[in-house]
Amino acid sequence: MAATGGILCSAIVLFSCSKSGSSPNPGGGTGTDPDATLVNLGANIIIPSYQSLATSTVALDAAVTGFYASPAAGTLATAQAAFKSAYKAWEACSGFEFGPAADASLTTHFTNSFPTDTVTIKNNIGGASYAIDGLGNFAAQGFPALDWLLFGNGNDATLVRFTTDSHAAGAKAYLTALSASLKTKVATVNTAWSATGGNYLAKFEKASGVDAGSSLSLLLNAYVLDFDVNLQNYKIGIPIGLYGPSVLPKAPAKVEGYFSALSVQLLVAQVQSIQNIYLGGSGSGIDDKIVASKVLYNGGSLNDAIKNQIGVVLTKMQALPDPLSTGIQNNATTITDAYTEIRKLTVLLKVDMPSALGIKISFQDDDGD
Amino acid sequence: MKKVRVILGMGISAALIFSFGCKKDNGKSTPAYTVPTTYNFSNADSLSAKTTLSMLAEIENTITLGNTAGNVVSNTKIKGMFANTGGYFTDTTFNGNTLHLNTSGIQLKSQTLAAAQAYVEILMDSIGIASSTGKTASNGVAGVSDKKTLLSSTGLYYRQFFTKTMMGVLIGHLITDVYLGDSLNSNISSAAKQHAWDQAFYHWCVPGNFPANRAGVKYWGSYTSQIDSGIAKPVVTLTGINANTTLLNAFLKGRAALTAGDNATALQQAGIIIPFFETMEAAAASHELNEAKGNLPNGAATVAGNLSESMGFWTALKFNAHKKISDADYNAVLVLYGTNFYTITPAGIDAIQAKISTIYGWDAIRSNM
Repeated sequence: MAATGGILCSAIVLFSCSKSGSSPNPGGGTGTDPDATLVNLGANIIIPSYQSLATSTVALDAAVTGFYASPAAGTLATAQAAFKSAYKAWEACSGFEFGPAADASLTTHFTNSFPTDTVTIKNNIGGASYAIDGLGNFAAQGFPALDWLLFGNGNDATLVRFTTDSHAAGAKAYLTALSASLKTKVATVNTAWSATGGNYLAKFEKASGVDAGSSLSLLLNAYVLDFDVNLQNYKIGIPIGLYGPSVLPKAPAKVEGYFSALSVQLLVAQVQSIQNIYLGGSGSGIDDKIVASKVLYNGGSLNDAIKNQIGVVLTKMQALPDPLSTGIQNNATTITDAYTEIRKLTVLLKVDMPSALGIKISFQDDDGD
Repeated sequence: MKKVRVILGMGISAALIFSFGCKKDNGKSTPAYTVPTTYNFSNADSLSAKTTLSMLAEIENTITLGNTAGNVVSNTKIKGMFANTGGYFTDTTFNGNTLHLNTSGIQLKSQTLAAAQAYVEILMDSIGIASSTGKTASNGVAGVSDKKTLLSSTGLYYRQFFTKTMMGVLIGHLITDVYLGDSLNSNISSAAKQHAWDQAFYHWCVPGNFPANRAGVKYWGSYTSQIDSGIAKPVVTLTGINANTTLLNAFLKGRAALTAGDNATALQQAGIIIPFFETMEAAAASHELNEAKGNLPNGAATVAGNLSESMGFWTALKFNAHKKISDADYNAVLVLYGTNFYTITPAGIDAIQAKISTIYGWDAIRSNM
């Protein structure tokens, strides 16, 4: 995505909501009792998501290595398939970019900045000096860069780039550097969380409560930013020409996964993850805390409102035209409908949910919301 | 945290309201004197310090114009301001006094450490050239960035790098070498020594009843608080650098001693302030690296800005005649800054800070600074 307005680390604007009467950290975590939600989310959602991403980025790196050794239609197809699996696995991890992920820069800014900077990629391939993780390279790395390299020009032209083109060596080196960097960063984060590695899981479970440094606060800030900024604004809003109150020219090529035509699958994967984190899978989730807060919404429980709206958004994502960019070109109304439902969910997640839990959402996107 | 502040406040008062008894100094006994709690000595005059600092600010403002695309900064002009030729300054007022900067007889160049004067002029030439490219800043291209900052081809943010370097080679030099060094150790009259001591204090750029009153703090006056309380907002802990208390106690005690003719005590207090500039410069360099880390999601230009501030402080340290750091250690850190901020990685930024921290023993507090 373009230079992001989402700021996770600097506290700039504190949302103050007028709802009162909610108990702090409802649902557990008092004294020495472990917080059931943190325990479940940590062990059964976050860790498995990183493990899955680790497996798929190892496979991607292996496929890229195979392509490097012998660039041909078959090895290209293998690399492309491995890329798609890894990208979908990433969608399940963008909702918790704090702690080890932040330390290792396994964050959307470095891993999923789209549209990718093809000018810089071409310069790098052409011999300019670069560091994959360099500050100036963030928009020329990660999944969007791989998307362009593997799918950006049709298979025939792609093979030429990696075989007979004068910069083929540079292209191969860059491709392998991209997949190696992803693999390494994911491995670092995976190890950091695991009980046999850095055991961040234990720290995550212990930091109960709702203060700025608590696990719930870190998680929900990352979670809400992922939905509001990454999904609402960058994956749908800007491509259809909407950014807060501004109306911009529509930009279908700015969707996530543009070159591989993966946009809809990625969106569905992300919303499924959003749902998973909220419900806690088959264990304790954010929903249990909302229920315990007893906060109401339009006469019913806030939990029902959020749960239902997530379901609505997921259904809308599954019904989007595929490829999404073509649908945007054709002004498909299913897309603007979906955006309307997404906006409703943003308000629930960004305003009502934190208010009910006593959490401060402290990032500010500059979309004027 | 409020509790900590109160205790600190009491600490300052308690430490300062005490009397010196009779002392022998050159065969005469000096009368007892009290050390006040605020810098409000009856014959203190800050106008020449204000003149110097106002000139510095006007040069900065001229450089800042280059942050807007299309504005060319004339290197002739800023070098002229540096040497106070050409009548480029605008008069300014302070406390009802008009400061006629052009005719003040003060010249920043001659007030700057001799070994650094040429360096500053070369920097000013670079600023002129960079502001003339008319291009957008990127790796290898000097110009104005997407964050409206004038950057070198390697991501150096000129305006901040200039200021932080001058905080050492001009301000630090005046305080530690000229006023608390040459003047204090010369045969000038006591009144002249008091005047020099006042200039040293006023170059810190804090009000007399600092830190209770923080109005108008700038340069070191801003940074001594920043390194004392770090980047976490609200303030969670004080870092242990204790810059505010260290400087304030020494300035007050030394000035009171001079008024009473107690030169020995004044020299002792100068002996606290002078080496402390190394601590401040290194701590500020580390502080800016924390800012850089926090700004990673905000893009290369923003992070490069913080790195430029950090490197500015590290450059100030290079010219610090009283530094105790070995050349080997100094250069080991310098090497880690690298030669291009576009290619520095998040891990690389941490490595710089880790090295500074090891050298000065700040491992326990470096993330608080």
